[in-house]
Amino acid sequence: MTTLSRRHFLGAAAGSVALSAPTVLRAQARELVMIGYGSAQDDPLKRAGDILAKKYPGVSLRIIGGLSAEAIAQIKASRGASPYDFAVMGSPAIINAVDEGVLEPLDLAKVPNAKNIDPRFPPYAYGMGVPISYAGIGIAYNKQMVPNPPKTWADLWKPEYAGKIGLSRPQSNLGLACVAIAAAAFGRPDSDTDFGLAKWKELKPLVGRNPNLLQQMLERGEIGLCPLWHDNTGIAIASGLPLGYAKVTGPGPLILPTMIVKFARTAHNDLIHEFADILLTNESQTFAAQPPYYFGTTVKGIVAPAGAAAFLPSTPEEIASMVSVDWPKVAPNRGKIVEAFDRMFAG
Amino acid sequence: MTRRPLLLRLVDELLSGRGIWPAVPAIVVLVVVAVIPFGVLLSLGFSDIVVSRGVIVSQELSLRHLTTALADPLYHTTFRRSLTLALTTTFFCSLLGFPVAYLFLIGGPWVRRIILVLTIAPILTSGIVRTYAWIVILGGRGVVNATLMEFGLISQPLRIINTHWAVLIGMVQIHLPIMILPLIAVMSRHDSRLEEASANLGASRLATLRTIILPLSVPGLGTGAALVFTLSYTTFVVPQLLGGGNYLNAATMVYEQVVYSLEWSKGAVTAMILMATCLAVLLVFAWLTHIGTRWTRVAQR
Repeated sequence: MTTLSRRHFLGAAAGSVALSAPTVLRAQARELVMIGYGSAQDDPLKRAGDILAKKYPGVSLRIIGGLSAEAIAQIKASRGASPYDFAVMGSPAIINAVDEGVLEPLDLAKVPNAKNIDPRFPPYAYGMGVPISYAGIGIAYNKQMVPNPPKTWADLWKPEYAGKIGLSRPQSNLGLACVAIAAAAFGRPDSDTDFGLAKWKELKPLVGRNPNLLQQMLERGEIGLCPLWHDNTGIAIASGLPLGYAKVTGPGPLILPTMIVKFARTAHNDLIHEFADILLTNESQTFAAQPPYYFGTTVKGIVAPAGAAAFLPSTPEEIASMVSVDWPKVAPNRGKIVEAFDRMFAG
Repeated sequence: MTRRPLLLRLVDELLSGRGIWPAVPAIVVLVVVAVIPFGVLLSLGFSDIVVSRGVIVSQELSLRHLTTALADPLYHTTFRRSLTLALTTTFFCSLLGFPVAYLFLIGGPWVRRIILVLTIAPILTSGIVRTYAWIVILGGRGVVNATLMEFGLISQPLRIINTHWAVLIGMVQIHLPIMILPLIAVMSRHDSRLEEASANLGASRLATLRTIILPLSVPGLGTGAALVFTLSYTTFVVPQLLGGGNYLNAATMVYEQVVYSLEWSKGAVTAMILMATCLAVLLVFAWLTHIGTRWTRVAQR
């Protein structure tokens, strides 16, 4: 019979401590990991994280930037064991994430401020999350290259803009929206994405791999104008670049609500609900509405700063005609649309 | 006799350098990072899978994805583009790398130091940073366009970035050190008396280069070409950043199928075709290197 020496005992104890240390530390530290923007747009999220950390010492928030589609692929690859707890996600990504079964719905009873949300926005969460803001999709343009920006989406097909137009690939929500917009601008349903792609092909656009790279192409003067998020454009303008933003119509002004959604199997269920609730307070909404990002607010009664009118629907007419894409008909086909895009543009 | 604990005996075996034990850690790493993922890749590529909540719920053997890919014109275009790009990159790296290695061979200690620093320094920075530097140089308001406009050679900036040429320029610059280093390693081992003998027999520098140095450098060229080709053929970052959104190469295609389309089987098949074609070209390189070193091997016997 082998006797257990003190050396064996100490070795085993040290090994156990070493193996369990990360788990113990994580449990004590309670770090919430979320998918954010990875840029200045994270400010309202960081602020809410700070409020949560003050209330619960030991709690911290880590924001990781990136496209939601990439996060969904990571979770799928890790067999549903998400490295993230929650995310800010637009409607199309939510639809894709629901298809992959990686989300769990938020319990609105645990988000008291959700009762103050403007009733136009919750339908875009598809029962999964709470809308915390919305972004506009318009046309960003270089003022030196484009003196007269388009007023409608169909204006992009005017000869004066030929050779100056940029487009984001459809793997991003922005690119996907652009394909649907091109169909809608010419009287077709949003879901006629083959028609939308064919219309874009007519323009021979310079294509950015994602919205950030597209924005860089605009900033470097390689393109004169492109569909872009209003918040990205606002930040670029605030940094002194000679850019402008056109709130185009027909259809539109076009918007995309952004939701807080929770990944399945997170260990921080209650904290995520509380985080979402903080983002829906009047103070948080007012903070998010400030320059340079001018997020559109989803809570009733928040007064937008004067500068926001250049980016978001402001007049009663604009607010009445504010629309989004028919995402349930478009988003599930994202993979097919990306492939069709490659056949048309890179084939 | 007291038996020593298993762990201590294992450590002793590892440190003794006997048998296969010293290779065990490397074998374990290879099995974990290469063999297992390759097995998963094969199983995904040759099957129809259904995924629910991130878990594969059904998997049936199928050749559908492979046959569809082999008949798809988009695959033909994409792989032709990747192959052309990788072969052109390898050609230009050889063309530019050989003179540098030759200069290293004939240069003095300072020249050698400078060449080594200039070759190794870029490798110490991230490929993404070096690729972004090309965006600054080749962009609409970049150094190249600004210079050409300054001299009145063009009135409008040329579109260099987001083209095949931008990708090629970036690839050659990024992979050039990978060609130079094996060349330097092989050329430094040359017996300098062969060159002296050649000169004593009245051969010019060019004749010595052509008949002595070049044939002896073939193993270095072969190794460098194989490395540059493999890296260029499977590269992802440079085409992403310099090629623009409508530039699709094989590695980018795998990424998009796995990440954006979430079609694992398709991505696995594309990755398998990428690997198989890469291996085929490497075999051709190995054969060419073998042919190219026939006489030197005979002479060295």
